[in-house]
Amino acid sequence: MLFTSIDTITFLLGVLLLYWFLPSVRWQNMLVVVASYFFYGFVHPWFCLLLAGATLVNYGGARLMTAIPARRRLLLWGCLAADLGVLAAFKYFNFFFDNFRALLSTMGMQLPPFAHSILIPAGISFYTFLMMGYVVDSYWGRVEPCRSILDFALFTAFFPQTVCGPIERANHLLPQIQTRRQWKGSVVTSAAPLLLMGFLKKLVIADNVGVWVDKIFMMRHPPLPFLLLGAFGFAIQIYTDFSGYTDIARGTARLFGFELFENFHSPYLAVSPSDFWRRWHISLSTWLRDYLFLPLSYAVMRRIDSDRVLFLKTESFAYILGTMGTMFLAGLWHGAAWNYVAWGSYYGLLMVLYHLCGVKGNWKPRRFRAVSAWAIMFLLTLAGWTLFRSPSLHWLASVFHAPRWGTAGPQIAAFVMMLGVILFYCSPLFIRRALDRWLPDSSVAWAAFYASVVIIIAVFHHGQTQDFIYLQF
Amino acid sequence: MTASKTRTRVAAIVFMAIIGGSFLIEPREEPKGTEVRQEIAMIQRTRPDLICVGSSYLAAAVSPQELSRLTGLRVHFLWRSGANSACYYLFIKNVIGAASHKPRFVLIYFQDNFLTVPTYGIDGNNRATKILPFSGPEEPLLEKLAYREKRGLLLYGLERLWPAFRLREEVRSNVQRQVEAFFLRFLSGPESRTPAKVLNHVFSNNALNPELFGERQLMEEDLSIQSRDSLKFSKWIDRSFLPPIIQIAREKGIRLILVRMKRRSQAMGETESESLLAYVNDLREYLAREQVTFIDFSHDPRIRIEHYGRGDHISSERLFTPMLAETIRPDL
Repeated sequence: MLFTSIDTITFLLGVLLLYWFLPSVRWQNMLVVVASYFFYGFVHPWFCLLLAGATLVNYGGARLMTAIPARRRLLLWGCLAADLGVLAAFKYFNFFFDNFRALLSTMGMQLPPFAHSILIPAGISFYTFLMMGYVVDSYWGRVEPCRSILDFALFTAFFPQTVCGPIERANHLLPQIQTRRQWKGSVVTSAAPLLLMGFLKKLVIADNVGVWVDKIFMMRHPPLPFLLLGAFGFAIQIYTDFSGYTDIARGTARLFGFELFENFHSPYLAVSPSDFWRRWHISLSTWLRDYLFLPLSYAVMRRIDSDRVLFLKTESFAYILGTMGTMFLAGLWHGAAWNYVAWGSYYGLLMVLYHLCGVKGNWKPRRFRAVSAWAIMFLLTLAGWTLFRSPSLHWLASVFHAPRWGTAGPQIAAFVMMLGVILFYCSPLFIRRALDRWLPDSSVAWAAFYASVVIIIAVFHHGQTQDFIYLQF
Repeated sequence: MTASKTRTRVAAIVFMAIIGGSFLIEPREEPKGTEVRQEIAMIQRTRPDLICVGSSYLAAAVSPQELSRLTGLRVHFLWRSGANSACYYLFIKNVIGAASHKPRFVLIYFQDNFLTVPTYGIDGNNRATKILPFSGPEEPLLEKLAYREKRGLLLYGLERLWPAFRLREEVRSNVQRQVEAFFLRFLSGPESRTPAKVLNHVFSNNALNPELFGERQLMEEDLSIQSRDSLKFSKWIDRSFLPPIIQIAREKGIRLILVRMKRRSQAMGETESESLLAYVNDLREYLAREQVTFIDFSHDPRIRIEHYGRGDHISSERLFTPMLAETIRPDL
């Protein structure tokens, strides 16, 4: 079910009505688990089996770590292997097999073509990472393994976050699950602005801007300024699409009395690649930092005895290895295609280059340097989105192989018109930012803004609503 | 009362006033059925034996006079440029079915899965110029199969309950056009080029790679008719206008002849997709069960690429009219 569909809205209202009349937290949790599985398996019921299986394995693994401490490491690796095995089988098998086959053919060996046509279960990357985070936290003793299977099932299947995140942490969501939620008016008043902004971002901005982006990326050979405009449009589209989803997910969770992670913090105001990843898809970037980058970097440092490696300090060497490894996998996490891998590796490379130039994670430039750093980072971000959105790396290479500049009159006119339309659709976001800055306490201004948002959604929503982009990951 | 409560109440009042105010906007809609009487009068006057229903594809490919001469029947054409399956349904229900003179035969000229895509081309200018002029005061089946299907229950319900909501397509396209025009003027001053012309030039068929088209683009371009989903015959047949068209014809004692035209791509030798072949087989079987004559010109080698004009229009009526007459004669 799509969050923006009538099915979901009806379903949500029904569940909410029942939910707030239930007498205990146990009943509330049970209802949300059933509702979550219903939501998740609405189109393909077998998805539920996979989710339930993964839930049982990780629940059991974490519980056994407490029961048999001597086998903790084995249990950890067992759980991780099961999680990664499922991910590899469903999401990456075809990709790896095709590439392996291509590699063999370059060496003169032939394998018959094979591709499984099993659908990739929605949100598999999200909930797999959520569960892996949980077992690692249990292993490290950061969280107490959950005793109640019901609570843990809700933690893994809570429907607002199952398919597109945010990737929650056990120490943030589990305590909320275990606490009784009481109805109060703020449940609705705090959720409504998030829901409205989420629908505005998705239905009005992302879907309308996406039409122009699609057109540019469907061209056989777009002029380079069009490619830049396409990347700019896609930057808007993917941000409003994904942050719109997150807003709707967080708003929906608030209707049930839960608070989910914030996933975005003005990512396009970043001044460096590390700054970008502190603001973009925060729940994934912090997950990667905590469970991949830091362990990897520390492991590298522990294994090197000398102070320097290849003219670099050991810390820098470990940083470079950790960053490249992490960002390569971050790209692969997004999808089984080389352009995602290239996109992740591109960010890894940028981070390393910035690091080598002395720009570390806590870098805060001021005034002119800040503006320059922002402008450079924004252009680098657009270059990254070009990699991400291109139909294929081959298509992108062909565009740059014989670059066209598109200086003919109609092309310049089309460029300016499309830019104008994209900015027009973004205007509610600028207005909101202005209100945040100049009239943060004016209830009349905010009421007028949100009432206008309702009307804007009604009038300007794009008729052909598409799946959220991150749903495919 | 605390300041925060007052603020919340003021906010709620402003919110409700703006939303409530929008309910006062009443959209103006073109009157219905304006062309029905005129078309019925034409049928009464010409008293045709055969009425050919179609779009500009029909009008370009077939000469009514020549067809009449070759078949010996009085022939009348009922067509509108860009007519869709919803129009065909309205033509047959409100014009042919309502006229006191009944033709013996109605020939429907169509392409591929055109008759089972009820949502195709029903909005915007098409609604104003083709749907409403042939509509009766109430058209529950048209609403259900075309508009409710296309919008979904939520949007359709909102359209019914919130009059201003019905304006949205018009407002959205007008505002977007104004924004485009503003930036075009800003760039080059007043000139003859319109935004649509500029965009059509830049995103011409040659500039786009059809292999990169997804379902989304097909829907966006109102090419839902070409989407893979629309070729699932069993899914769409009972949600299309074809069964009611057949039923009306049967009730009025009219024999239906369905003629599938050959498309430019077929004349160019492109192979049909597996799903289209399966669709046509299912359609053929369905029509045989319903005892409706089905004639398929899509693989006729006599129609060649040089016989085409713009797009899928067969411009050589001297070629096609005798072919059609010869093929339908045994059924007349």
